[in-house]
Amino acid sequence: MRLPKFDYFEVKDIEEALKLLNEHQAKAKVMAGGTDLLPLLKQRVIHPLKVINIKGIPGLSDIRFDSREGLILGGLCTLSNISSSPLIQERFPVLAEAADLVGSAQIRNMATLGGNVCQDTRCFYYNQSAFWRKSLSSLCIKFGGKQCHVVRKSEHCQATYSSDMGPVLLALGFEARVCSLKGERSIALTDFFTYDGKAPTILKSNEMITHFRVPPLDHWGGAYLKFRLRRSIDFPLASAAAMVAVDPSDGKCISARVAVGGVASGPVLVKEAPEILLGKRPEKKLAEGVGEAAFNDINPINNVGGSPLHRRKVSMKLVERAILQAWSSIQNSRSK
Amino acid sequence: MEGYHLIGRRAPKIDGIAKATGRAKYTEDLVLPGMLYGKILRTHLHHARIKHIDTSRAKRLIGVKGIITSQDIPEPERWIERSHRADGRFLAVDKVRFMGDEVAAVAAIDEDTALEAVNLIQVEYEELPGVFDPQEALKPDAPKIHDRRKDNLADTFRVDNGDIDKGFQESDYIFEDEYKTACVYQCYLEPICSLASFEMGKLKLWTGSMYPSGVRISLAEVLKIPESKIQVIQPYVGGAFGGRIDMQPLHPISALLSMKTGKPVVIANSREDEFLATLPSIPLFITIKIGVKWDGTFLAKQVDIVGNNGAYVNWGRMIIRRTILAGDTLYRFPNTRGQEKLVFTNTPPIAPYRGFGTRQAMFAVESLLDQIAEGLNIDPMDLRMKNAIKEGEVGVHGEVVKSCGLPECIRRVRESIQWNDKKRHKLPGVGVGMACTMYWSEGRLDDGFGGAVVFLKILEDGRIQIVTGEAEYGQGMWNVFAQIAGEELGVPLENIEVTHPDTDVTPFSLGPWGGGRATVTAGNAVRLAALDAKEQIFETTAELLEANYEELVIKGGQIQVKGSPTRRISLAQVAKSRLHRRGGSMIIGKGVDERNTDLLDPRTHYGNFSSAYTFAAQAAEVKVDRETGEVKLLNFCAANDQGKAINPMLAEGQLEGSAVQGIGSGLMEQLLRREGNILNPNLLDYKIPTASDLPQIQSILVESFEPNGPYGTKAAGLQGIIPPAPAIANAIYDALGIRVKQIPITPEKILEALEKKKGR
Repeated sequence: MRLPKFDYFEVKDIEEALKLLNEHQAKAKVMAGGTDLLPLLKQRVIHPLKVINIKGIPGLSDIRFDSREGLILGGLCTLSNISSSPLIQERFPVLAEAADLVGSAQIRNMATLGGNVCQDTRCFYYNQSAFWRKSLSSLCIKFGGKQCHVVRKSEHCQATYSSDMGPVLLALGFEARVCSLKGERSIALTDFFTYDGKAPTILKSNEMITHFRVPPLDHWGGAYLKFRLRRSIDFPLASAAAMVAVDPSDGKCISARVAVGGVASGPVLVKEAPEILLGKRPEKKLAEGVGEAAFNDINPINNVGGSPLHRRKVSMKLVERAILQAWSSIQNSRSK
Repeated sequence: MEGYHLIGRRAPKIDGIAKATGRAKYTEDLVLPGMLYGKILRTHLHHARIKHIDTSRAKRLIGVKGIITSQDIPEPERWIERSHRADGRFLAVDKVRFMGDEVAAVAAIDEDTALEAVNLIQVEYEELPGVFDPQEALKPDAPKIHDRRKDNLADTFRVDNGDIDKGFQESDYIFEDEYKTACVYQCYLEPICSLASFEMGKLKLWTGSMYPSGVRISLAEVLKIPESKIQVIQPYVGGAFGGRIDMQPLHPISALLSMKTGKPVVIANSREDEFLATLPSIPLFITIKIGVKWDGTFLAKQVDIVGNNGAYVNWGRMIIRRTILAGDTLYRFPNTRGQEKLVFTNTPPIAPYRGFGTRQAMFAVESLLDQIAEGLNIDPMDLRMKNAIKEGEVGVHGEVVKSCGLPECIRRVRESIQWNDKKRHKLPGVGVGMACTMYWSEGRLDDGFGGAVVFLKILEDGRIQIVTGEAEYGQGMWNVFAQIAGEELGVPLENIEVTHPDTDVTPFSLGPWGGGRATVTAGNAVRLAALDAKEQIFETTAELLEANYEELVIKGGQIQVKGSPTRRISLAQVAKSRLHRRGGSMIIGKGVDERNTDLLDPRTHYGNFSSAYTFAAQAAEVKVDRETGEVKLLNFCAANDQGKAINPMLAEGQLEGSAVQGIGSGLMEQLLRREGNILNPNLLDYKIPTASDLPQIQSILVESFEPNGPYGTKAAGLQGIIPPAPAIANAIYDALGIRVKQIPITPEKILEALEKKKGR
């Protein structure tokens, strides 16, 4: 497959990128690692006239931690930077583990954190060549049509968000720093996703992400579990990210967030998780309760492989296991 | 090792470095002056009548040099079954019958222009209802795919041996079940490409095929030009696995475009073309019934198989007629009946895929055997051992088994997987399972020549060139040939080369299919060619050294007189001398070999089809996650009886590679279809296993001695793909007590089966 024609820019600073974005808006696409964008271009799924390569912008691939600000990750950090960083392995092991589950070693060397979080949603009826799509009776919603070919009655696009990093960042309480020519703003990941398969993030066409930040966490544990048909070069059919923090004096849960990935148009925060877990000590029953809540919160469709019911059941179990694993990782770190 | 210096040696592939460094040139790497790029217009519909094709807009596009439709195709003289579409046309005439069916083609100055032009061709269709499931297609009111046929039944056939009714009557127990296998695609690395150049009345065509001589025959037939005016040349080839068995529509299309434009034309399949419009494997529905005595002796086997043939009869008939015999000779079944129905549907036509249907059929046989073993309370290994065919026996269909390492294969995997231990000390969610198979080494498909011809030249510098039309496409055949020739002529491996097939230069060849045709038949021919060359070498040497022919020995590129090391001469000197002093008589050895096999009786399918039969046994240990249905392979042991291994390293490579493909189709591979559309026509969504999905495979080579093969060898290529799926299914049963009867065994099928079991 060959790339279509487009104007290509390699920018050297953020301002240059933002000017171009502001000028061309939706006609332009930002490229970092290119692992999500290039296949979409080759399949003629998207047709940007301008491609802006931001990988040469200095200062966007740092990994920093200080006790006041917390952990700051540049949007251009590659996934292998993250999985191999001693700082992350030491303080945020769940991030390293999740990054290591993405794609293959070659993809992780190219793909960036920002790109992974901002990746397009996927669907059997969307990620196909122009020839293949011609066989459909009408354009699907993501292509600007009215008909969803998976859920006939659906009025909105339900393409699947398959990021591994998205649910983890959401569960850990990250925020994204977003820039445009007008200035900079911070958005909590809880407000970042639209859950609309057609445009899965709130990022506007003149904006780009520079950094991600999470405030310092204490006495916490995290886990990310991914279910897929094969153990490498595969998107999740379901995944679960959990973060649990406890009061060290009594071991009771003081903060908890659980997100499910790969089953909707964005990472799904399990709403009842805090209600079930706060003030409690670790117990399998509680984790099961959150799993059941997750089962009820999600409604995957048959658009990326695997039966929807099976993916729901697996999500339930992964949530349960992720919570228990997160919890036991706190105990392990305390006993060290 | 028995005094051999090259046979049995773990020599690296002689084309390995060229491939690993990217220097090997494949068809798509070739560029000819003035070359045009061809694109095929495929239909996006599943079933439709073509009302009108308008190419005028495409013709007007600057850069377009030629367009063809079915109107440009010569009228076929006869119906040609194997090579292409049933009607002998390589572009659709009146109807399109599957999404991807070829309708028209364009040659243009570059790929983008060709693509643009293809999109400018207007085809007016009358859409017809499609049918995608063979059971549906057999219903009387199903849409008819071929107008001239009365229904969608492409073939039906029955083979009886012994007395099936008596067999079941005498049985103490009868076991019966139904199984289903998915459609899988061969996934060779290099998509098919064809470069054609028609110049001064002669067609030259470069392509990667398993059977270049066959591509020439088929091209001559569909293009109506004499075979001598066609030259098929084969560069390096990136895998085949049955999918490149012979001509496909893009070959005559590129040729016709070249004839029309007077320029070379290249057409390269994209991976999507490959998935949508080349020839995947045949999916089967299998109903099987086996009758046994109380002690586990097999008395009768009956199978009813329904296969999805796709839209055109390609290889479907031949493949499905083999599937109904699967397992009958592996074990001693005195009474068998096999019947099949092959059904047209609006899906791509099918081709062989490593195992020629036996992989699918044996999934049913080997699964049911474990059900029998459980029912009779016999160890599954013991049950198989009890009924296993042995050396010197003749199978129920007339197969003469001259060598058989099956019992040894079973013993070795039993030991290697620690079967007895694991059966005694069971861990939760962990289980072991095994399966066996038999396969041929080659086979006689028609009443023509069924052997191989090889020439062997001694070049003036003493190097050896083996001239063969047999195709190397990654299986390691070049090494087999070079190691055999080097063995006989005492020449080191680095001094031997094997030619790429070129039908103008290399002898007619049937191609290396069947698991070991190249090794057995062509291997014998290489040996004979080497012996013929040796005779010529000794003749000249005897003259030059004034020695007796009988006193000469050849070793290390030198010929010397036994017992007097100073009286010697190099192979190069002999070759030169023979060429220049004896009037240009270059040393050329010729080897022709044809094994004494039978053409199957057309009615009973009885006969000794292959000169040698290969065997395999494999055992898997799995751990299954009860909550997600995920299967993890903990251990995998695979034993092949390939006869004497000419190169054990490559034999292990074949065994491991085939086992991995078997694991893939057992656990994850399938073309997902919805209303006829293939949802996963790419290598991201169509899953094949990666290294992280596999345990270390314990490969075991069992070396029985096969009198029909050179040095006792037979075949290593195919048998290993067959046992993995049933071995895994049996291991899952051992772990959880659930039997999944459909491959691939995906996690959701495991959870479903678990829930069904709980509900009971």
